[in-house]
Amino acid sequence: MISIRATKRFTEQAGALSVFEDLQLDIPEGEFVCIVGRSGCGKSTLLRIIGGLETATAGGVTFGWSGGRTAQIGFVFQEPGLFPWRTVWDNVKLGLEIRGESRPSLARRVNDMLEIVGLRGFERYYPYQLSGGMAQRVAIARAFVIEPDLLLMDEPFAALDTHTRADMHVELLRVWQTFKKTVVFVTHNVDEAVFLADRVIVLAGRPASIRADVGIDLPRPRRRFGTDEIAHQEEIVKWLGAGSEPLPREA
Amino acid sequence: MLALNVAVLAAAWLVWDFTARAAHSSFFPAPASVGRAFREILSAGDIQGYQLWSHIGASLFRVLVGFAAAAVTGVALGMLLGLKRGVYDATKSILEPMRFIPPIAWIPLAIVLLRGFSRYAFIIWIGAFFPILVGTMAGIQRVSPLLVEVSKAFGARRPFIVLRVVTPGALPEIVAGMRIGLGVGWMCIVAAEMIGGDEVGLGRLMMNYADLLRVDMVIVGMITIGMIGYGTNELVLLLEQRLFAWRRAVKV
Repeated sequence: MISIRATKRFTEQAGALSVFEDLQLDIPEGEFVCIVGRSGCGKSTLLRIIGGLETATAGGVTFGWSGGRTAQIGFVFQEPGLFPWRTVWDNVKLGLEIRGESRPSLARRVNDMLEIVGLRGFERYYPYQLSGGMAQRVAIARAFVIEPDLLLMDEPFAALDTHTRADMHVELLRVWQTFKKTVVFVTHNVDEAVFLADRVIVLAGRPASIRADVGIDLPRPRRRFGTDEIAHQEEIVKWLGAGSEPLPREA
Repeated sequence: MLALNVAVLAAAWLVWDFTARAAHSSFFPAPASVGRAFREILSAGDIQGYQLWSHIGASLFRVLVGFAAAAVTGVALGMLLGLKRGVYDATKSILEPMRFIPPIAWIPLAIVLLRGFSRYAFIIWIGAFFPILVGTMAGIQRVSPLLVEVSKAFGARRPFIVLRVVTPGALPEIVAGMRIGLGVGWMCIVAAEMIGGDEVGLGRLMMNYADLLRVDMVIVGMITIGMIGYGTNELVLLLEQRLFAWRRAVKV
């Protein structure tokens, strides 16, 4: 279980900005959660706080994993963020290298992971030789290979074309179902959220608050334009619009 | 492209030859007399009996020593200033003006303060140091913040980020700075050898013959310096292409 109780304020020269005040969210282990909101609503900030890339102004995140271990966190950003001087293979091993994994185990894990995301044969390619979709698959492999307890994804498919994006959804779900790890996936795309998530959190307003917490209890594989799916989408869109203030309010 | 270059060279030769004939002065030698001077120094050596090769060797050695010192100090200081912006901001008022002082302007101070080989090395070091320093700092600034962020997200600590993220990311600019620094250092060789006592060295060769008003031999020295500079630059470019194959070549 991940418990978030956090307040975030930015104090820039332009004046203090309250991103969210005492936002509360619990995410059980193994759940695929999508956080949906308009751009600038603070969803990325929330993700970065969960991942430890930013600190909350007040409160924070507590991880209560079974067995009380410290959590391994995998991160996928909107841009692949691959190291241009590293081959695909060397990019995927990044996290294992950082935590000092032994060589044989590192090689085995990287090879297995490349197999799973369908990148066998591309080990020696450099990022500039990859398409956008392939590059993002490498980024996903890099995040999954460390066997994270928690995978944080910040609009990972936003830069891809519709078809590649649809393929990546299927791919991501396949990899996720293999490992069944907790995923927090940030997006502004409602149909993406409904296609992927067990649960959709709608974030809106400024300071942002949770407008809705929608469980998506539909069997997978889901359809893109199924009646149930569309019903959920409409519900989420309604919450996204409701009560959202058009102008930023200064705190 | 080779044919085109040969054609351009031939055209330049003709223009030079024509101008020299028109000038009709013994201080403006035609290409043919420069060719004779080349053969003279290659077969008989210079007025003191030194071969062209020993001049080239002496100059190359001096430049390489000065350049090596500049590479070490330039990269080290560049890394420090690139990583610690505060140190740069605090020392900017001395570093930036120093960068624009031409190496030749340091000659009087070098004569007063230094003796022997260190004079050569110092002038070349001054010439090569700033391109390397600036290249290193620019390289560090151009490292993608996203890569640093990714590394932090995967739990990397500062040594990993400096050695495995910032350094390789900055390396193309560092090497480009070194290539430019090597070129500038090489260009400083004549100035450096003006103040060194040794009788060998391409700069010294040129000055000796300038005193004798043998402009043809001075041009031999000029061409030799130009060709060696061109050759080493091409070599480093080749090295860059091999090292940084991961960099997509920008074509405009």
